Amino acid sequence: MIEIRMPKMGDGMEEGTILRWIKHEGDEIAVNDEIAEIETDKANVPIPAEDAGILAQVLVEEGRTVPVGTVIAYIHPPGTVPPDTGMPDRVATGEAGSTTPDAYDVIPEVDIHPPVVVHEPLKVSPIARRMAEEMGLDLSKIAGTGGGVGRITKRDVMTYLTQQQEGRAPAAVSAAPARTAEPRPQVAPAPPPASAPTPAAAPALAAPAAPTQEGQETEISRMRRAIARRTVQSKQTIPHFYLVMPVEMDRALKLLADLNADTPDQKITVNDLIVKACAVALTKYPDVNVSYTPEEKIRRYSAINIGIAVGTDEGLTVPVLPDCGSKSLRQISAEAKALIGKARAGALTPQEMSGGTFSVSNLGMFGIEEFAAIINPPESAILAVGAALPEVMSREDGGFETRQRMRITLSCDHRTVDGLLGAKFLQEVRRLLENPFSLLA
Amino acid sequence: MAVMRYQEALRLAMTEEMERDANVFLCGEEIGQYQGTYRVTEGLQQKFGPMRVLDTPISEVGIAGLATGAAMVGLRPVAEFMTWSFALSAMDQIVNHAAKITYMSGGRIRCPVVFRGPVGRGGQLSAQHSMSLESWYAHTPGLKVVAPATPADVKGLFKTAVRDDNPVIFMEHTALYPQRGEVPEDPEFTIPFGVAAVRREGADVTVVAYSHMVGVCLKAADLLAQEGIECEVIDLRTLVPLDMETVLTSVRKTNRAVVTQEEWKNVGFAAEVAARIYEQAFDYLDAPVERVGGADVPMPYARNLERAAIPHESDVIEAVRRTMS
Repeated sequence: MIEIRMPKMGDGMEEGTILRWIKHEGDEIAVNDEIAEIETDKANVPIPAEDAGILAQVLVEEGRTVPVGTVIAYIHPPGTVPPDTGMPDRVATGEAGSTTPDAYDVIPEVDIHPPVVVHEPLKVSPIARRMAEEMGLDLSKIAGTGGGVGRITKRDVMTYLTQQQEGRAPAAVSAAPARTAEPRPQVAPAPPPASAPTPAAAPALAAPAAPTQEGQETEISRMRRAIARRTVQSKQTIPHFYLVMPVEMDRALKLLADLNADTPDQKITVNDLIVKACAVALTKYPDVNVSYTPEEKIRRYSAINIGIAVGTDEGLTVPVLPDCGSKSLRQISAEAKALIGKARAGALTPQEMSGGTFSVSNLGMFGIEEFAAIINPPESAILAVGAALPEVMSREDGGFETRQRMRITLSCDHRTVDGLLGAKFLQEVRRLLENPFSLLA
Repeated sequence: MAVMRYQEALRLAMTEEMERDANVFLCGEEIGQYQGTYRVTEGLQQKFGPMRVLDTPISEVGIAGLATGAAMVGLRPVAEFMTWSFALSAMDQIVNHAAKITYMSGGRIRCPVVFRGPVGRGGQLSAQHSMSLESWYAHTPGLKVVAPATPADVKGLFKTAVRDDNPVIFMEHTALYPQRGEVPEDPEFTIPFGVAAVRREGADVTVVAYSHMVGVCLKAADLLAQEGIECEVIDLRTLVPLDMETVLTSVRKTNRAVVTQEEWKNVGFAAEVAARIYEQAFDYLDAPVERVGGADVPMPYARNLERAAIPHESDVIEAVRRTMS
C-alpha cells in the first residue's frame, strides 16, 4: 500500500482541509491525476498523484482538517490488488486447456481470500481515549499527530484543551447575554421583572433592558483563520516598532504620468515604483532583508522577494514577487499586475504566496494618510504606504507651494532591525522615490 | 564499599558463600587448575581444594546432572557453563530434572542448584558461542532467572541464588566482567529476587533493560536527555521472578515504554514484558510499546556484521523517538 499524505504546499502551511475527493475508493489512478482538492491557508489546490494504482482507502472525510504529513489515503500499487471476482484467470485457463500435466502447477499465486474493505478506526492512544472519555471530549474534533499515522495522543488532547481554553474567552463573552437573559422569564412570574437581577440600578430607573449583544456566529474561513493566527503570532512574538517618513512624490508622479502616457496598456503604478524602490534600498541595506529564526539566529536572504498585500472580499493575501533585486521596474510592474489579478481571482498557488523576505502594504488609494502594518512573519519589516496628498509647504525663499506628500511607515522587528538601520533604509527609499529616474535603470 | 570488577565481585560472593556454608561447592570445566576461562574462579581451588572446586570432564550434560543430583541430596552446587551457549546439551537435566523435581516429588525433594556462566557476544566468537537464551529458561516453570548488570548486583544476587532452595539460572555477561563498580563488603549483603532497580528517573519514556543492555540504555538516556527526552531506565535484575510493579508504576507515569534485550528479538523476553504492559497498563499507554533486540540471525563472525547484529545505543534512541513521535 502506498500512503498519500497531506502535502505541505507552502511555507506557513501546517494543516490542510480536504475540500472534496476527486477520486473515490476503487478508482484507478494514473500519475499526476488529481486525487483530491485541499484547502490550505490561502488557496484551494488539487493534490496530484505521485504513484499509479487504485485508490484503496480514504482516511479523511471531506471537510476535515488534518496536520501536514497525516496519511489521508492509501493507494494499492498496480498489480497487487486482489481481484474482485474470487479466482484468478490462470486457474480458469488451466482447467480449460488441461495442458498442465501436474495439478500442483496451477496453484494460484494470488491471495484467495476475498478482498476485505477495512474502514480505519479513529486512531487514538489508550490514554488519550481515556482522557477524552473522562473529560467528555469529542475525539473526532481532536487532530491526531502521533506515531506518523495521525494517532491522537495525550499531547494532542492537551493541545486541544489549551486551544479550547484560549478560544473560550470570546465564547464566554458571547454567552454572557444569553445567560442573563435566560433567568428573566423564569423570574418574571413572581417578582416584577425589573427588580430581579440588579436591584441597585434597575428599579430606580425602570430603565430599558441592558443593550443586548445578540448576534450570529458564523464559522470563519480558513483564510480568516490564517490571518487571525498569523497576525496574533506576529504581534505576540515580534517586538514591532514604527518609523514614519514623509516623501515628496511630485517628481515620481510626473515620471509615472509620462511613462504611462507612452504605454497606457502597461500602466506602471505608484506601488510598482515603491516596490522597485524597496528592492533597491534592500540591496543597499541587506540587513533588513532577514529573518529572526526560531534557533535565535539571523538568516540573511540572498534574494529579495517582496510580498504585496492584496485585499479581497474574502480577506488579505500576500502574493510574493520573487527576486526583485534583479528585476527592472517594467518587469516588476508586469509581474505584480499578474499576481494581483490572480490574488483577486483567488487563483494564487501556495508557491506564489511563499518565500517573502519583505512586504509592502498600500492603502493610499483609499485616502488613508498613514498607517502601521503588522509584520508578515518570518519577515523583519513591512512598509505601509499612505496616500500622496497635496500639502502646502514653505519654500526657502519665503513663499509657499503645494507638494504631493506621501507618508510611508516602516514596521520593524526590533530583534533584527534597530531604529538606526530602519531610518537609513527609509531615507534611501525616500531618496529613490524623490529621484525616481534612478529607478528606471 | 570497595571498587571492584564484576568478575571480582562474583568471586567474592562465591568465596563468602563457600566460607559460610560447607555444602556449597563449585563444578565446571577448567574452573580449578586453569582458574576459569574468564578468571571468575581464580584462586578458589587453591583456597578450598579440589573437592569443593571440582574440575569436570568436557560434558555439560554431566556437569548439570552431577549438580542437580548433588542438590537433590542436600548439597548446594554451583555449576559453571563456560558459556551459556554450551548449556544446550544440558537442557534435559536443567528443564526436565532440576526444574521439575520439587513439583514432581510433591515438595519432598528440593533442588538448590545454581547454574551460572556468561551470556552474550564475546567479540567474534561466532554463531555457537554468543547466545543469550534467557527466554528459554524464563519460559520454563520451576527455574529462576537472574541477569545482573552491575558489580554490586552480581554479588548480592549471586548470594541470594546460592541460598535459594530452587534451581537458579544465573546469567553473567562477558562484556560486563571487566566493568568496575562499588560493591558492599558486608558478607550478609544480598539482593532479593523480584525487585527491579530504577537506574535513572525520567518522565517521558520507560526503558526496560537487564544485564548488559542496562548500560546501553543509560548511555542512550544520556544522549536523549540532551534533546530534552527524559528516560526512566529500569533494570529488571531478575526475569523470574519478574517485578512488573516497578515497570507498571513507571509506565503509568510516562505513558510510553521501550523494552530492550540483547537476545534475538523474535519471541524474546522483551515480548513478555511488552505483553504484560499491554495487559496491565493498556489504559495508560500513549504509544505502542517498542522492542529493541538482536537481529534474528546466527551471530556472524565478521566484526562489522557482529556489531550490526546486536542492539546499540542508537537502536534504543530510535525506539524511544518512535514512541515520542
